[in-house]
Amino acid sequence: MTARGTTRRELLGGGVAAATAATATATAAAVAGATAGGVAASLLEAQSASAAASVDDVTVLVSLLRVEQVLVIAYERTLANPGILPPAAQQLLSSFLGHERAHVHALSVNVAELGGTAPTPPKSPAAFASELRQLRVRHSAAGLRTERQHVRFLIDLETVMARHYRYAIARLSGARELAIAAEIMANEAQHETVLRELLAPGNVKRAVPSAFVAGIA
Amino acid sequence: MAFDELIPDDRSRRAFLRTAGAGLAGGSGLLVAACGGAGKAKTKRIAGSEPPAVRLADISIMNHVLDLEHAAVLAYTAGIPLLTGHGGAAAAQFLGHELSHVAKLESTIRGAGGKPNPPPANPLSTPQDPTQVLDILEAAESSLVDAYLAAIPRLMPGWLRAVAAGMLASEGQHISVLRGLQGRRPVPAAFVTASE
Repeated sequence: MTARGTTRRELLGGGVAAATAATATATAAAVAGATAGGVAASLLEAQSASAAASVDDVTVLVSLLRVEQVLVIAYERTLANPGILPPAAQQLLSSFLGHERAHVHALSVNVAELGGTAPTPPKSPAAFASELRQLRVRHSAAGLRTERQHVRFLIDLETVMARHYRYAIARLSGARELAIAAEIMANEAQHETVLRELLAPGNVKRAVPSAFVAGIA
Repeated sequence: MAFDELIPDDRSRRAFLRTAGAGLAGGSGLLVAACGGAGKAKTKRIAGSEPPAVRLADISIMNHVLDLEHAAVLAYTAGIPLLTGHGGAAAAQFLGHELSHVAKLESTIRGAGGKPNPPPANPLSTPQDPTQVLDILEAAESSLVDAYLAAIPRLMPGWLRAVAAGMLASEGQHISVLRGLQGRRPVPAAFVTASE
């Protein structure tokens, strides 16, 4: 993460803190102003007024987290096969795994700050396969042996990831959530490009085939 | 643009909804959610009565991005003659992408009743050698990344944010290739920012 990105997030984080403080103030005001018979209703009103904008954001962020968790496992599985990748590719994919973990961390923090709960990552190969089926990944994770097969599989997942982010960006409402989603979506698109270059070195038309990243294979 | 363009096939929409869980609403709910935007500032609606409409503020934002897309087109046009081989092929491919972005922004602005800003007459700087070309192109792409990142949280209709995100990601890909051409790490960070 760059210093600039950190600064932006720190600033946005300040916005969330301010919003949280406003929520607490609104709740306190609701309690103070409520009559004996209306406390519950006033609290409910204050809570819904402050949380309405983020309820759907939490749902969207959790769905993104689930796909990111799958992507982390996919990179881990590929990197756990010694000798499949040449050293340069191994190094590249290791750095991408670090990026995916950073995305999981950023989204998890965001979900927690909005009052949500991060999903549990798939714990077994069967659960991982089930997630892949739900995501409609074209290539199966089973039976991946060669570098090309592994890279193709990762390209599929990065494509799915970009599609989910694009869809999420249309749905999210929070400025902070939108900024993070946009920064991550662009990063996933970069991963896809570099992975495609591994399959077809020097072929820029295959590496960056379209002017619009839509996450459609 | 129809909302369906965001996820152009039912299969993909269903996949997203599955991962999002059962709490998400159906089509009409999604449409309403897509219309809800981040920017709460101003303005009157100027195109059509049905959501999601583009606002005057959105047109202004898009015109700012359009200015930078025009600048990138000029930078690529000025630089391509100095590039050969893989660099030349990449720059030619990316020039096509930037022209597509210009066309998309112009048509969206016009479709919303606005007037697209015209391109400038000359590039801001004239490169002398391939190294300068790559520096200038990366700077142009970074400016675009910065502009799209600033624009996305401010654009109101969800579909417009998705279009901008698709172009932002494209610029990020260009930067990766341009960095690789300069012998640098193509993806140095987990979050794409202009200062990469």
